[in-house]
Amino acid sequence: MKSWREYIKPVLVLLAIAAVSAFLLAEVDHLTAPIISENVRESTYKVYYEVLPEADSFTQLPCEIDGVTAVLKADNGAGYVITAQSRGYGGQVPAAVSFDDSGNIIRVVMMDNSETPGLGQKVTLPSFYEQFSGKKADKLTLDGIDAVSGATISSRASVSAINLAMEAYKTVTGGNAS
Amino acid sequence: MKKADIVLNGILKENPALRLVLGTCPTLAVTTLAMNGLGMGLSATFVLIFSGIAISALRNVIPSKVRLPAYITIIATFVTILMLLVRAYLPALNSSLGVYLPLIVVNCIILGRAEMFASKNKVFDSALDGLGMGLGFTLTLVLMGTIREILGNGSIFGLNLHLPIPPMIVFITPPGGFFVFGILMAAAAYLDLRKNRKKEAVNTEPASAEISSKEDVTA
Repeated sequence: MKSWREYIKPVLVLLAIAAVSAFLLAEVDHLTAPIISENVRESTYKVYYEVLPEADSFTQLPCEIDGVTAVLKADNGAGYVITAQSRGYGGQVPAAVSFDDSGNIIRVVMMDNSETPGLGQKVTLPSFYEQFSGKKADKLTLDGIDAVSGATISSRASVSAINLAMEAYKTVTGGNAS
Repeated sequence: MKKADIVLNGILKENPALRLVLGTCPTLAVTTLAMNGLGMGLSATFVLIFSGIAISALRNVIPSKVRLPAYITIIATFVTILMLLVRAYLPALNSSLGVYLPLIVVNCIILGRAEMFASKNKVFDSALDGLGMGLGFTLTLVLMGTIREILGNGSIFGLNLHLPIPPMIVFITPPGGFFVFGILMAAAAYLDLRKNRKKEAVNTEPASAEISSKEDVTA
């Protein structure tokens, strides 16, 4: 019975543990999957309504520009919401920008990023991104913007993300924005 | 060993982060804010308790040859369950812990306790050991997170303290993490040393009293 103890039993025990694990994981996944996908959907739509509360519902428009993640038109004509991202210090820095019909920025909201907590992540505070509200749709620079101190790279990435959104806006609306 | 001692053991004498120097990576990485430290600590505690129970219950079934893959499978299962639950019910915690939540699988505290304690002790004792180790880890992370958040961000658990001095940003960067970690390790070593000295002093006293009483007799 040496081969049983030496070779077969270890394999069977491991197999049994793996099988029980797989069963447990399948059950938990089955339970949580709908809640997780609902959370993800909710958090993306929450941002859209945050930048453009006047909108009732959105239609997604196609856009091929690199770094632009979504272009949406409000169905009631309240404007456009465009999300774009640019490389920061610790990964992508995403921004959601809403535009009115003449191409001015209505509002900007910086979405969650993985910049340094307490430093670069401060671009997600309203005190930073509210500075962009009402800006004209010209290429923005950090001039005249109060950047987050100690986080030039993250601040710059935020501006590039907003500029990308503008570019997408001009492409989608056929360049009729001033 | 008394049941309470098993729990208390993990808090100072064998504090996983400060005395055993295990799980240093999450200790340094997530403690930029006190809240993150609390989330990470409680997550690790959950995994420690349940993997301790499971491994201890199976300790006579698992052949020693395949014990490591068996332990890792069990630990990974609990970490994945935790991850799914956190994503579903605490999405904010999930985004702040990021990659360190799934990385609990390879946190050496968990495998270390499986190998050192759960594989040799009864189920209830292993659960207590997991609880003690988890609490010690949580306490360390919260303490570190609090110090770093106050000094580096001027807030505590997200509440702005409106300190008269500007925050010292270095404390929420990795070098500041090492700095606070080193000081806490020194403090834990000092406390442990002092406790041992006291114990020694108590142990030697009755002995010397005995000698003096003998001398009294001879005198």
